[in-house]
Amino acid sequence: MPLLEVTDVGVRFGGVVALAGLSFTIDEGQVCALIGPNGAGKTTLFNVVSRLYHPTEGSVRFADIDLLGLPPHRIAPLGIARTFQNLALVPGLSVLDNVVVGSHSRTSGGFWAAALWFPQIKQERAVRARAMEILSSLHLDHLALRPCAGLPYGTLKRIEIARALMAEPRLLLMDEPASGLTHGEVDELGEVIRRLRNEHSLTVLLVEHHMGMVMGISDKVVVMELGRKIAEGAPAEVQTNPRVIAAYLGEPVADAP
Amino acid sequence: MTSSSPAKSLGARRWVPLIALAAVAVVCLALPQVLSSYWTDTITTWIPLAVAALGLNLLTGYNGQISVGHGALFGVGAYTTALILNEWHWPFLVTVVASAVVCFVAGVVIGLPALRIKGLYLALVTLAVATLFPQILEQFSDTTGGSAGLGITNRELNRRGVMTDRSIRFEPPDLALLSADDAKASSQWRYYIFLLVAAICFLLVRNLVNSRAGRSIIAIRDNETAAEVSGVNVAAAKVFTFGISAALAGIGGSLSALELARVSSGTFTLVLSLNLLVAVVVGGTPSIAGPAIGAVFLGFFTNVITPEFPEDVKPLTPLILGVLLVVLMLAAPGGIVGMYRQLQARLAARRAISQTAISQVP
Ligand SMILES: Nc1ncnc2c1ncn2[C@@H]1O[C@H](COP(=O)(O)OP(=O)(O)O)[C@@H](O)[C@H]1O
Ligand SMILES: [Mg+2]
Repeated sequence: MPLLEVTDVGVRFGGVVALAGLSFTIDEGQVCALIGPNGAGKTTLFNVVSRLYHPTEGSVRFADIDLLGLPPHRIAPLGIARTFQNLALVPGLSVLDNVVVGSHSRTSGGFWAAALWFPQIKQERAVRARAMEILSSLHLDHLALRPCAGLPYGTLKRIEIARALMAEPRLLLMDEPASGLTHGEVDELGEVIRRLRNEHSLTVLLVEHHMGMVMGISDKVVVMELGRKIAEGAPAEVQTNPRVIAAYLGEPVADAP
Repeated sequence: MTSSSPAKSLGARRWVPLIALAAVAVVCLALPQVLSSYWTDTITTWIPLAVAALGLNLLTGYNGQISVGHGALFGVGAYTTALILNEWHWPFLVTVVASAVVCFVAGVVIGLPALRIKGLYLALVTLAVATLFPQILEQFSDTTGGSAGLGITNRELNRRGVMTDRSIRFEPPDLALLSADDAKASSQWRYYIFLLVAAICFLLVRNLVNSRAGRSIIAIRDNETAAEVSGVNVAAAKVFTFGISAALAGIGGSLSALELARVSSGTFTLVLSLNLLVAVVVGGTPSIAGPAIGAVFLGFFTNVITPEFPEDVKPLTPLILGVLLVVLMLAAPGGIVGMYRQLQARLAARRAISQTAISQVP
C-alpha cells in the first residue's frame, strides 16, 4: 500500500485550471520529486494535501486515511509536515520558537495548563532541547535566539525544514527548498535531505527546479505541466522522455518572439 | 571552555528583569504606606485598568485581533459583580471570579463571529458593541439603575440596631502592616487585595504567552497558515483567546465596581474602551509589563496631570490625550516597552553577545 495516494485530483480557481485529474502515489521511504514549469500546479498540490485548498474532485489518501475529510490542523498529527515555497515563518518569534511551533501536534497542554506553567516545564524543556538538536543538525544552532527578520532567504528555508522535522513527520513535503541557495549549498542540501530521510525514516515529496539535485536524490520523479502529469518514473527514464524535454526546452522557444 | 564567558554574562543578564521586578514590587507594596488615603484610593483605581489592558493586550498585541469594545466587557464584569453582591451577598473575591466567568462566555460569543470578520471590520463591530452598551444599560434601567447608577450595598445592622443598606466596604483585618486609622486601613487593605488579584492575572498571562499555547497565539497573529499547518486549531485558539481577554476585562470591571461601590451606565462608554486601547498602545505591545505601564500613564494623566489644567482647557482633555498618543506612536511605535527593548538591543549589540544559544535553553 502506498503512503500517499493522489487520485484524479482537480482544482480550479475561477477559470484557471490549476490541477486536472492528477494521480500518483508515493511509497513509504521514497524520495519523490515533483517537477514541472512554473504554474504547473505543484504548490497547489501541496496545498491540497495540507487541506488549505479544496479540490473540486478526486481523493487524497495518506496511510489509507481520507485527508479530504479532515480540517487543516488535523493533518500534522497524522505525520505530514511541509515547508513553503514563499516561507511561512512567524516574525514575532525567535528562530528557536519558530522551530518549536512545529512540535505543536506532538505536544499537549492547553491554555489552562499553560497559565499555571508547572504542568508544562518538563515538556517545554524537552521540546526546546529537541529543537536545538535539529537546529544544530542543520547548522542553525548559533541563530536560535535571533529573530527571523534579516536572516538570508536560504537560512529561512532551512529553519522551515527544522520546524517541519519537529512534527516528527512520516511524510515531508518540501516546496523548492533550494531556492536562494548557492551552487555549493544546493549540493549540500541534497546531502542533508538524503541524511534526514535516513535518520528520521522519512518519505519525501520534493518540488525543485535544480535538476542536478532532483536527479541525484530522487527515487521517483513525477513531471507536471499545466495541472496534469505528463510523465512519471525513475530519474533516468524521465530525463529521456520526449514530452518532458519538450515541456522544459520547448517553452522558452515558444515564448520567444 | 570558550563558551563559559558568554554563558555567564547571559546568566547575569537574566537577573536584570528579576531585580527590576523586585524593585517594582517593593514600590507597589510601599506606596499605600507613604501615600494619603486619597492617593491610595486614586492609584487603586488604576489597577482594574491595568488588568483590563492586560486582557486587551493579549488579544490585540499577541493574537492580532482588534477590540474597541473592551470597555463594554469591563462593564459586564462590573454589573455582574454589582448584581451578585446586591442579590446574593457573595464574598467579594468570589464575585470577581464569577465576573471573569461571565465575561469569558461573553468574549466567546463575540469571538465566534470575529472569526469571520478581521482587521478594520472587527474594530468597527466591537466599536458598535462599545457604543451600544451604555444604551442597553439604560434600556434596562430597572435592573441596572441606568445613568443614575446602582449602589452596591449590604444589609447591615447600624449602631441603633436597625437594618439598613450600607455601601460595601473592605473590612481590614488586624494587621500591623495597616494603618491604625480604620478608614485608611480599609483603603490600604483594598489596594493590597487589588494588587494581589492583578499580580495573579499578570503572572498567569505571562506564563500563557511563554508556553505552547502562547506560541500558537503569536503564530496565528503573524501567519495563520504556519500555525494551521503545524497543527494549531486556529479557530478554537482565537475564540479562546477572546474569551480569556474578555475575562480579564471582566476582572478589571469587577474590581472597579468593588472600589466605587457603584455602577452606572456613564462609566462604561466608548471613552473607556478607547482609554484601554491607549493604555495598551502607550505601554507597548506585545508585552506583559506594557499594559501595567500604560495604565499607570493613563491614571497619571487623568488623576494627576488633568486636574492641573486651567478650567477652560479641561474640556479639551480627550483631544490632548489623542495628540499625545499620536506623537508617541510616531516617536516610539512600540510604546514605552518598545523603547526599552530598543535600548536593550543596542546595548546587547554593543556587547556583541551572539553565541551560545544553548546556554539559554532552560
Ligand atoms: N490561490 C490561488 N488563486 C488563484 N489562482 C491560483 C492560486 N494558487 C494557484 N493558482 C494558479 O494555479 C496555477 C498553478 O499554480 P502553482 O500551484 O503555484 O504552480 P507551481 O507551484 O507549479 O509553480 C497557476 O496558474 C496559478 O496562478
Ligand atoms: Mg510553486
